[in-house]
Amino acid sequence: MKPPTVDEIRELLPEVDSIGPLVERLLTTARPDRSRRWSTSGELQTIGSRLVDLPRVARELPLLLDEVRTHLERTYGESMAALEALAREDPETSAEHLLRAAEAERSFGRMREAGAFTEAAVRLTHRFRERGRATAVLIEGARAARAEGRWRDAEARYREASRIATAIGDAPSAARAAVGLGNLAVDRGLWQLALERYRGAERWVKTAREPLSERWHLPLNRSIVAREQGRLRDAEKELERARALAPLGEAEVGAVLGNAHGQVLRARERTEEAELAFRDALELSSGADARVTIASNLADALLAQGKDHEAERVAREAEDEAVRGSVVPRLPEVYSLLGRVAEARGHADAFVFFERALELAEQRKLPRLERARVLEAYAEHLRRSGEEEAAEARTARAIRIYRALGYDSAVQRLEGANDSRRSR
Amino acid sequence: MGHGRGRLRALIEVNARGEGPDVAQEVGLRWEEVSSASAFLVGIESHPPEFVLLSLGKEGVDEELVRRIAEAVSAEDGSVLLSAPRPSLEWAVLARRLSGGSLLSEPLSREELFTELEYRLEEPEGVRIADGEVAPEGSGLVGSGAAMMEIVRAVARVGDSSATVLLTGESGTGKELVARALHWSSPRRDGPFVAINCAAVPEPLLESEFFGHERGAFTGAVGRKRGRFERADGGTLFLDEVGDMSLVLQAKLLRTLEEREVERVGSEKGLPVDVRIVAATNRILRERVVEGSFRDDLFHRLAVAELHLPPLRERMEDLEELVVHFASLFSERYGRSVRGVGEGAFRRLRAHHWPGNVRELRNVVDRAVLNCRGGWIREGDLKLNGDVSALSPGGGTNEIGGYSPNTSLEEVERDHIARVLDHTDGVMQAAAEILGIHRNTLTRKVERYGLRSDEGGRQ
Repeated sequence: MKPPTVDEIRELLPEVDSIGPLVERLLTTARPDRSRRWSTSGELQTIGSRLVDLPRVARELPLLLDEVRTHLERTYGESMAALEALAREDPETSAEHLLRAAEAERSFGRMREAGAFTEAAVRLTHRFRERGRATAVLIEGARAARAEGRWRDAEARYREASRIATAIGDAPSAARAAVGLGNLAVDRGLWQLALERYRGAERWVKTAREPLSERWHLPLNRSIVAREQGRLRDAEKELERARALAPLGEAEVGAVLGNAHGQVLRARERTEEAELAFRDALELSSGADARVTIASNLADALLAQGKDHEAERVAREAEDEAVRGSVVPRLPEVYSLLGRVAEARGHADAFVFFERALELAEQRKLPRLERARVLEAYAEHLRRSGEEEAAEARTARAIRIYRALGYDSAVQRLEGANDSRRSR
Repeated sequence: MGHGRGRLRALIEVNARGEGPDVAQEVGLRWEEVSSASAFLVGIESHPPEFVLLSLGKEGVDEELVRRIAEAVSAEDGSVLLSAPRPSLEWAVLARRLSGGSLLSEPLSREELFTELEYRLEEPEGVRIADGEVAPEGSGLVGSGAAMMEIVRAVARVGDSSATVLLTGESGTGKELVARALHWSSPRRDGPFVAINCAAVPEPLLESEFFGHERGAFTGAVGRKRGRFERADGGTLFLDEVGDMSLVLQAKLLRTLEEREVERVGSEKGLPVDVRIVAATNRILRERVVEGSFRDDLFHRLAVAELHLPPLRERMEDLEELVVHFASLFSERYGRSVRGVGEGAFRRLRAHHWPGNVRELRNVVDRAVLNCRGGWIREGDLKLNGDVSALSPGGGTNEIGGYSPNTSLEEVERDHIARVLDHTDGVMQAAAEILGIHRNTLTRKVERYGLRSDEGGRQ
């Protein structure tokens, strides 16, 4: 009996909530088809052709059902508590329960459901009598909206949180909201605005009595902005500041800083040093999400050195990490990278990775920003392959999405590149 | 270079030399210490020592000096060791690039220095890569054994025609390379060589990849697209893994081959094409014809001439040539000075089963070049057997000891059994012997893990 592929599972089973956790579990057990390991098509395999380990899932079914039960008990319990609090005319406590339900969903890997609970909590803030308690809910709501690529909603929520926190002198919340607003500006490529907002956040961080993680996040974020602006020396200096302020001895913090260092080195085209920095960061990191990011960066640094086999191996590790760690939303990014690796290795069919990345973004209803990024990478690949017309079509689609999201710098960048190509 | 004859010239602070002089003496090297960079340079180009040790913390030592010394020393097959009081990324990269080793920390420790010196002191028996031997990427068919010579003769025989050729052989045996060789030896050599993998491209996209499409032919068809047939006009179209194509597409392919024209998806107008087809499969296509999953008429159209490529394990006489070829290719690409391949490494390579054939060998040598310290590829630089999944293009993690630290014991067991079965080509008894368990126990585990079901009769 040949195990079914992920594609076959998706084709067979309907998309219904009740078996959602089962489908996710099936997915995390999927492994590359070993029989195609050394074939050309094996090099182009994606998640769809992975083989699902049915016997393992069958064995682990009682455990999964237990987990589902525990999870449902938590979300049902928090939902009931939210309703009871509202019946007592205590919307503040009700919203807190909804946020806890959101957290439960998030830790179960159900990001859309987590977002829905957070939205419900945000809706309640209009009924809050203690406005001060709204800031935490609004900041959570802004984070959720940002993660989904709904930047306008995120901006409005951070602004409202900032307004309330400023009015009541809640420095930590004001700092968090200001950092959030800065990050949104970074998302949209508005570098000067981001720096201005980070400056505002800095003032609040200094006012706050308690230790805030924003204290080291701020120089880290400023380093990212400096890197994006091409001020690479400044980027390094800011990173040094972040390192000096970050808590000592926390591996995950070390991984974040190491990854940022690698990115600065990569931007400075010191790819070998970047490789070592990413390798160190990878050793420190343990969360699947972070490991996928760092491994992707490492693969990119290897690719830049012409080490395409090694790049492929590391990118495949990132893929594996994303599948096993249930961070499938990161796969389009990994597949864009594998597309570039396949292109570097002269695969005529490298486009398959980009097609799969787009398909996945569609299938998993990922934020539109993700789709735009894949389209942009795909267009670059097609252009390098001499397929100008197809490349233009994909660039146009990417521009439409960036424009709708308000990512002005990306629109300008792509339109500028189009203009210079036409003028040649 | 042997024990008892070499010199190690060191430029290092007195308090940083640690156990350096003792270790040097133990491995038979004369420890020569100088106090300044200028003194260090005296005679270094005319009489380079076998080893130099430069402390990056010493005044006057900068990248320029290190490079200059490295050039002089490595020209005579010597080695550079770098140490630093506070290792930095920048210096670690330099150490890796110039000395092929790690940056030693100060004060020098017995263990670190001993490892670095021992590794470099013993020049192993093996095959030296000739100076200036640079293999051009994809230089063609490598190997002078009987099997490869037969392929070369066949390519020369069949190449000079327009006959359709079917290449058969296991994955990784170099079918695309042979297809390219057929193209280059044919009168179409000035035309395009276009390849497509029929198993990799998703079925809904494959038709438009073959034949192209008109604007608006289907959702996503934003512009007119030329298919691979059109792009190969006047040249050769290589259809890889042709045995995996659906019956519907097989019919369309057959029609194209018979009529010698293509219809873009969304168009009714035929476009004449002049294409030579070279198809390849790692399956036994005749069996698929018998079971009805591959069209008989298409098979006969594709297999006008048939060439079988032997697996690497059946042409091990070419192993040495292939290894040297890939080693010089990758050392050139990565700017490494790999001088040779040790006999121990060859022994290990010869003992391997090579399920992934030349493609697997290429990957193994690629990584070995990256891992290589001291100029010679040794057994320890090879990632084979237990590390197979890490090298496979299909993926798999390889972290601590070949597995992610998040891997359960059960997963490790499952993977290991699968690897051993690969190694024994599915022979259960041989696998049970390697694993040290009874065959019945292995059978139960294989069933439990859903590993295989097709080797029941193989003892």
